[in-house]
Amino acid sequence: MSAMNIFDIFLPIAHMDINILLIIAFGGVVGFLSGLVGVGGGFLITPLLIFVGVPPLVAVATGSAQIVGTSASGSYAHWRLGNVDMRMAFMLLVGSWSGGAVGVHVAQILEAGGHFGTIVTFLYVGLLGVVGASMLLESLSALRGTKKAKTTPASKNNDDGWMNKLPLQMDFPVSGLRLSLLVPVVIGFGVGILTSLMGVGGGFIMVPVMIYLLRMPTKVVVGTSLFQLLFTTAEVSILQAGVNHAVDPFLALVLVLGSALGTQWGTKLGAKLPGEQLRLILALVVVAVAVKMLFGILIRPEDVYSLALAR
Amino acid sequence: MMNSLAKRLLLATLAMLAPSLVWAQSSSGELVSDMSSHHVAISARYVGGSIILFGAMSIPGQIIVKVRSPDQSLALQKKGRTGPFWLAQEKYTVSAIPGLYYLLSSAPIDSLLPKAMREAQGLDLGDALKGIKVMPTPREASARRTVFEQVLRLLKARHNYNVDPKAVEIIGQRLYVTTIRLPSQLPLGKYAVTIYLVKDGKVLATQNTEIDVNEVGLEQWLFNAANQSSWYFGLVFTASMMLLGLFLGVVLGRKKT
Repeated sequence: MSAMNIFDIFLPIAHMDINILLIIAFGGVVGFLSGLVGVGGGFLITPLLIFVGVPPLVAVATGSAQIVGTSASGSYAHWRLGNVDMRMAFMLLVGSWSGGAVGVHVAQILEAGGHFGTIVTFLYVGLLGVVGASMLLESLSALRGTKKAKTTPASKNNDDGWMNKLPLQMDFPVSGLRLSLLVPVVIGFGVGILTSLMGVGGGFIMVPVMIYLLRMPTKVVVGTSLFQLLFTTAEVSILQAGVNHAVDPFLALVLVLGSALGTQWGTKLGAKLPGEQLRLILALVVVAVAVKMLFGILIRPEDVYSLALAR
Repeated sequence: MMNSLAKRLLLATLAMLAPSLVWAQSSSGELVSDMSSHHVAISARYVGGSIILFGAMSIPGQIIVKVRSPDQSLALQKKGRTGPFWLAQEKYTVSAIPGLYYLLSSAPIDSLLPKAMREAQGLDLGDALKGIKVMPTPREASARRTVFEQVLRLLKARHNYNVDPKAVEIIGQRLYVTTIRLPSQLPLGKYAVTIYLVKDGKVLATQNTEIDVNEVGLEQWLFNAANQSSWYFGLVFTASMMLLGLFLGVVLGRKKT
């Protein structure tokens, strides 16, 4: 074998050769960004895997398995510090486990018809476009010194909103809240769908929802969101392996190792660098990935036919 | 081309063997062949390989080598334009088709054998597609033909199908040697290798042998586990990812403080 191939490994489930250094680098870069800025980064792993030719369903399924590895230790730490609202997490999980189960079967049906890749691309272009654009605007306005963002949550202070009129009201003592259990179940359901169709943890949606919509105390937001995210991705990972045979163990393992190292490095560097510039960098990366994905479906493919092993 | 050292060794061996291979003068030819290996072990590090097939023939002639892997199922997908987007529009599952099919020869096969003979011996790419099943089956014959053509084209492009009339080298009219180059993506199982001794439009002798392609070690175990006991695999693998995460957190966390 030639020297160029010594880092190639064969992925047993994706059924392809891949350069192991490339995957470590993906894990490392995404881990680095998440250490730097404090976001999960699952929404970058899946598109990167798709770019290098991993079948979309394997990329999505392996993405969720990878998040199980990267969020386990953080969840445990927050749980030990008592930063998890267990009742809230449980209600969210009731929803997200149902959403995950539905999503995995939807993925199976879409894949059988050959449409899963298309749907994933559209979901990602939409999600990354919106997330990236809002991050970009936020960090640009922050860099200019106009702190508009800080005034928004206070002005939304409408305690007697529609949420209090819903049935099945329930106390959440740790968060000091009383709200209908339908709210976390429905939110969880949406997150479960996202995890199963996109291979993301959904922290970037969960955290703002908890802060602005549920108005949970900031102290328990990160812990509770990480805790539910860990068990949602775990459920989805088991289902993706069981139903769709799509979790690639080598890929997931290498990603977790790469991202663990990247996160360490990112956290150290992040403490030294100015936060707003970092957010801008991440926003640009997210927008770039969205644009690349969009171009992927706008440009005529080199070959309109493609052949793969039938699943 | 082939490693020159390997070639020299091979020729030396054959030259020593040749005197002992004194065939009775008869019109029916004979073949003696062997391979550098009968096994291909697919591990995580496998990215393609090659096997040297060599031998001697009793009468000067031409050689055709056919390599055929077990059948597999493939998915052919066609993208088309929907509005401004290029999206998957058609998907066919193509089954009962060999994943690898090689016709290696010392001269173009159509110049060696008449068409009827080629078909009878299955020495034609069309032979690979004989038993093919397409689901859903396109209604029109032309659409069916397009599916066949595209599958064939893509398998050739990946070097899973190969027709090479210059692949077999004949040395001193009695010896032949060829290299079977295997691509990185291989179907597993026993590959049938058939060697034909051909002269004057007739097949004088054939010899059959096998290449055994197997996944080995951890990857085989994982592949089987993930496909045959997928729920168990999912459960155990997810739990181990969680443990790995906790372990990494402890190890890396300790280093930091």
